[in-house]
Amino acid sequence: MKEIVRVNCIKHRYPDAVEVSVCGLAFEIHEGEKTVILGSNGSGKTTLLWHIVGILKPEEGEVQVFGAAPKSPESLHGKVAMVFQNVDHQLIGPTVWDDIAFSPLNFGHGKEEVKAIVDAIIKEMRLEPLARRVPHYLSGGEKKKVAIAGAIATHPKLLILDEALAGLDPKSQKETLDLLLKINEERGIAIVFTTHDVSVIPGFADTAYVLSRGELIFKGKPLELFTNPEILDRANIESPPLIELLGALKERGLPVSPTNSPREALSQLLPLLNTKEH
Amino acid sequence: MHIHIPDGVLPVWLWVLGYIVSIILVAFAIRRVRGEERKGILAAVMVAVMLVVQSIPLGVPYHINLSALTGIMLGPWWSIIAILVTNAVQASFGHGGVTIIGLNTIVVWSEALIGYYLFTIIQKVVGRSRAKSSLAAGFSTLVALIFSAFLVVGIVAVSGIDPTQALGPHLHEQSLPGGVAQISLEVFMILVLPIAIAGAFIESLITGLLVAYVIRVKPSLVSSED
Amino acid sequence: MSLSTIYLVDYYANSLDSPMHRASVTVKMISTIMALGCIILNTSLLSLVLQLFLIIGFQAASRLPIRRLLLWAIYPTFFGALFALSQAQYSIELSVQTLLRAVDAALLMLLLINTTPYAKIIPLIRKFSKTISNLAFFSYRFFFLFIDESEKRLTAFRVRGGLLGPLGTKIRNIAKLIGLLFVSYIESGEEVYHAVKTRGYRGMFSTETVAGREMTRNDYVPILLALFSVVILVVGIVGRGLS
Repeated sequence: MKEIVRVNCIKHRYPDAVEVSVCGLAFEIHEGEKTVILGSNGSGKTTLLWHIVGILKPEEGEVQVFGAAPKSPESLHGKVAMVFQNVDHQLIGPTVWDDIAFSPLNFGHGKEEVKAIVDAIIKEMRLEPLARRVPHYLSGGEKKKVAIAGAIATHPKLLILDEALAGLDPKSQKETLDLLLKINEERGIAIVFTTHDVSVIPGFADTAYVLSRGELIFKGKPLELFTNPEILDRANIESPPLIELLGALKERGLPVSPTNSPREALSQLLPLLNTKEH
Repeated sequence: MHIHIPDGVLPVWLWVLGYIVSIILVAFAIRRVRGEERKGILAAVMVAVMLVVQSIPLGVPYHINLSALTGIMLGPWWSIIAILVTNAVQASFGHGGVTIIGLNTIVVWSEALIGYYLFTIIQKVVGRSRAKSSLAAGFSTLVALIFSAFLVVGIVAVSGIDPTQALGPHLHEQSLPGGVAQISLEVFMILVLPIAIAGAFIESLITGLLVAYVIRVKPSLVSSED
Repeated sequence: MSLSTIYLVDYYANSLDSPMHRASVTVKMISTIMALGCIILNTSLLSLVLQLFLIIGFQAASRLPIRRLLLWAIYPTFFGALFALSQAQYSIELSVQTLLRAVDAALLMLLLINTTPYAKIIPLIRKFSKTISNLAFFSYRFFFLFIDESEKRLTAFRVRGGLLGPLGTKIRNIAKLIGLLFVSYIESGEEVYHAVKTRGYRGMFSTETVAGREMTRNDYVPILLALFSVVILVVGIVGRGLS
């Protein structure tokens, strides 16, 4: 798969003289890939994402997005879109319909074209009941959905979400993840999001990164992460309970392999339990 | 000081003049701020700030405006545009008449203007440390608000003048609907000035303390040495 | 004007439904200006009282909560009373006229803003100035962001005793609260700026679903308000002429 983003040891100084850096392993995203970044508060996740979308520029280090260093957020039109941690900051339209129309309009599409784009997205994401609602009266899950709709209205190749699941109840979290999976499968959009919630990673991500105090300390498949006690300990992460359980059973010699899928776990454990019973 | 004079009190010629002058100033300001997109967002923040802070109950019959601080943050031209929008919203809620939005814009802008220039001059003269910047902001606010209180008194005083007397025969006041305002200037001053001046001291104290806090937490917002 | 007032006004304007709500913005604005002109020019006590009942009648027909609107009108009425007081030495009648004009004008504006979403006024402003309409657009959005933030912090501030103590302590506490809010607002503003830049902001925003048609069949309602106001004014003038 073609590489679309590469970030290598970046350092940035804010106007208030606070310095942040994201070093360690190189950060890469490939076409169509689903990537999750795990890290505690203050580890540098938002800094990394803001460099990718061109909001921040590194004073040291390398950022390449679609083959070039991003000059500004506008220079990535049609390539990268972002959903911010606090979606209230990006919901700007007087109604949901007008909010989704915001980007296409500003990027120079004519009125008729904008209407076609927005109507199509509203239909695709089943947002018809919300189309004429005022964004600040929506629930957290609805706002997230609208923000994602607004982001994909520009047909990006990469969608970035900062704390994609923050503030959402479990049902809304599942809906959001399902939506992201759908966008990835149907539109081929690469997805990157940051989260604290380890349980969502195995079922979603192709690649997981762990950021700890400004250092990328892990890059690999989610299951590799959750069966790596050293990294888990260093990053102060706990494995999803099911993976931890199966990992512990494997260590005791049972023929199981860690998985976060209850079905898979059941299919591994049932034969063992039945053998025991007989 | 935001003028809370309701509609129908001031004579037509005065508030029309207020509108004409403020429209000319705002039109000029719009040309001056062309291309300053980022500052436009900050101006929108300040509009929302001004609307929010005046709703904060102080436990005393006065609400703060942060108009002088708006001038310090935005400079003269964005501040008049922000103040116009704020006044229009306030007028729609009955905070001052719709007819006096123009006059209100001029009065409140005078606070922003004095706040901005006085703050800048004081910083140049005495330096930009946290303490000095805080004192500069507080003092500029005090001067700005006291000036605007007397400006309002001046407007009310002028409103008692029948401009047609300068041009021709005297016209009976009652035959001119809204022709002149029959307001007792003395009573108006007694009612308004003490509250305005006390409020000016409170707001200047709050502004000074606010600037000190902001410089401690996010110095890049207000130019200082810290 | 408390934070909750603005929130409620926005809610009533966006969520209630009546012919006045459905009338076009341009006609409503012009009719309101005409009615306001009639109030300002009105020098008859009886007419001003009739005007008051007219406005309250239109508020009721627009399904607005009259009692709440009357409560909101207390603030401008208070200031109207201040000016009425300063005129009392000239004429009690003039004094009462001033008070009534203040009340009528305030209730008229409350009728307009409670039936017209702020977002619908912005396309109208855009015809005059893109800069002002963009400013109004963003400040509307910021206002609601800041209300949520402010209410939480204000509640916590009061629960923790921020408004207790002598005046000096109160003022210091309020300054700290305002400082905290101010910094958070500016940071929110910066993040909104980044967000809209990533969304490609170049000075444009869509108001397709709020702009509405220039004239609607419900425009008869604000037109009637203006016409009745003119009639009431004429009645007042004739009445004064006869007396």
